[in-house]
Amino acid sequence: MNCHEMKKYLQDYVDEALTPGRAHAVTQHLESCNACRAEVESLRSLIADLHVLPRATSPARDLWPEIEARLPQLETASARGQNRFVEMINDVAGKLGAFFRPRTLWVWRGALAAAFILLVYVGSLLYVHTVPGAWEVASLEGMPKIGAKVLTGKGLLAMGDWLETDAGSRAQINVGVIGAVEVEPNTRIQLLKAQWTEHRLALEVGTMHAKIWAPPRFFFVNTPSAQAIDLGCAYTLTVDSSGAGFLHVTSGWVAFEREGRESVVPAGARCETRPVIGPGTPYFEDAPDALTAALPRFDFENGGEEALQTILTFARQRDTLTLWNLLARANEAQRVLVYERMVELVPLPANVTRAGVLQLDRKMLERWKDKLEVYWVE
Amino acid sequence: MAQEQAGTGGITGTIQRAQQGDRAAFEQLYREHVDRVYALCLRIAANAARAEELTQDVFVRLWEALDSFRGESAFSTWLYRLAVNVVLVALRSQRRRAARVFGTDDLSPFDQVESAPKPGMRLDLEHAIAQLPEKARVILVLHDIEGYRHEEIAEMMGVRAGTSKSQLHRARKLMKEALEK
Repeated sequence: MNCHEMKKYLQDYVDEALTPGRAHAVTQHLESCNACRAEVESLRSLIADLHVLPRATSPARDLWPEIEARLPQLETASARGQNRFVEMINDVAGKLGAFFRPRTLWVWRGALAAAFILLVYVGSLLYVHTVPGAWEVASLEGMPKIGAKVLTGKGLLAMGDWLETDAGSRAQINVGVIGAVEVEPNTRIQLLKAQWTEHRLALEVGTMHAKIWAPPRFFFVNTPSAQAIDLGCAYTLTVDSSGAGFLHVTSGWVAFEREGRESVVPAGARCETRPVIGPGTPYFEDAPDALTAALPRFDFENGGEEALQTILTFARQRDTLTLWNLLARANEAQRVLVYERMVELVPLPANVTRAGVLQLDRKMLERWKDKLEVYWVE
Repeated sequence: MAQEQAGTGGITGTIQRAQQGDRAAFEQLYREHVDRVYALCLRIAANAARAEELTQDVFVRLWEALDSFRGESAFSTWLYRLAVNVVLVALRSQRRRAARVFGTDDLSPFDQVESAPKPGMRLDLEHAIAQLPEKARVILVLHDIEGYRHEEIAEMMGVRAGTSKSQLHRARKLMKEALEK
């Protein structure tokens, strides 16, 4: 090997990163080459100088007062766990109606949970005796219409019927026996399916508030750009004239889905959706402004790397909701960045691996989500 | 105090109290580690004001993430890794905000340090580091000063280990050229 070829190995030689055979060849060459020997000595000298640089330097001023002012209130893990359990119980009880809110007795809460299961069972028996394929609708204000017919008082919304409110009217739809939907002014909504296993509305435009006390995946709302799948919850869904949608979950969980692209949205979180593209990435309503501003750029405006970096920079532990949902929609290089930020915020559980997450292993992602949910509780 | 040393591994009393929201304990952790974190931020950002901002970001992030420290590694190792990640994320974000340029080689805090054997040489080194292209600078600092391996740097920066190595070689070459001027 001549000097020119040898030079490319000198740094690895100094770092002791060559194979023994190649290192031996370099050593032999150095014995007869002054230029390469000088190069190696120069490199070693530089590295030695870098190694002894001080690794600690005091800032010119005390940064603590500013840091302390920025520290958010901490909630300990145990408190989060307790709150989560209380919320779970409250969720179950909440589905029985506001006046059945649990107080303090655990027995009372357990009884409510059992009552919920009984209610669902009895409801299913009753449901087959209600008007098949139709839901009860009540006018709350003004003159809503079912088709061309003005609704005064109560009426029935049959499968295929459209319910429409103008600027001065509102209505309430009873979703069989599993919940209720309040329809805001300037809304157009259609009953698609009224079956025990599938309760489905189509929200073309406007705003609706849903409160559902059925098990997950019994109630669905189609919008022009995504469908909202109830996972046991209360939420508000808005669709504008362009078909873009906005979901705000106030209790439980909702999945927002279109053609395999899914966002899982818990209480306290929001999610936008756009025609053609589908649902964006969910975020908590208290997320940093910079993060919420960057998300639509990433989801809908080809913001790519730039937007992602902003999201990662400003993400807090709680915003692992956003990052977890981003994993599946980022490209491979971006997914590595998302993963790195996530493990910085919350370490991987023992039974989840980096390779598994990066390959979007469904079970591993679910296991990690189970751990992260502690941070997503309000 | 020996059992309170946060850098020796495990969860010490100070760390435990800080994890439970004790701000006085957290301030103690700050006092123990701020110089090391600041030096890292200063070398990578190459700007004293920016380094102060980043140091604050690191400790705010530490407060949020402290609950997840399980004592599986030394606290100092865990903290400095977290600091590197915070700084790298900030750099990536900063790179996109073209209007905000921090790489102005304001390294005056290093002037105050008198512990190195050759102060003049050391300051030359610091300025040469600050003049390196950002990526090469970050990798040189992480590898040759902080002691991370190429595989670790690659993982933190989202690049391949080969890229880390080639950038390090480039950085050293540029350093030598700058110091020989």
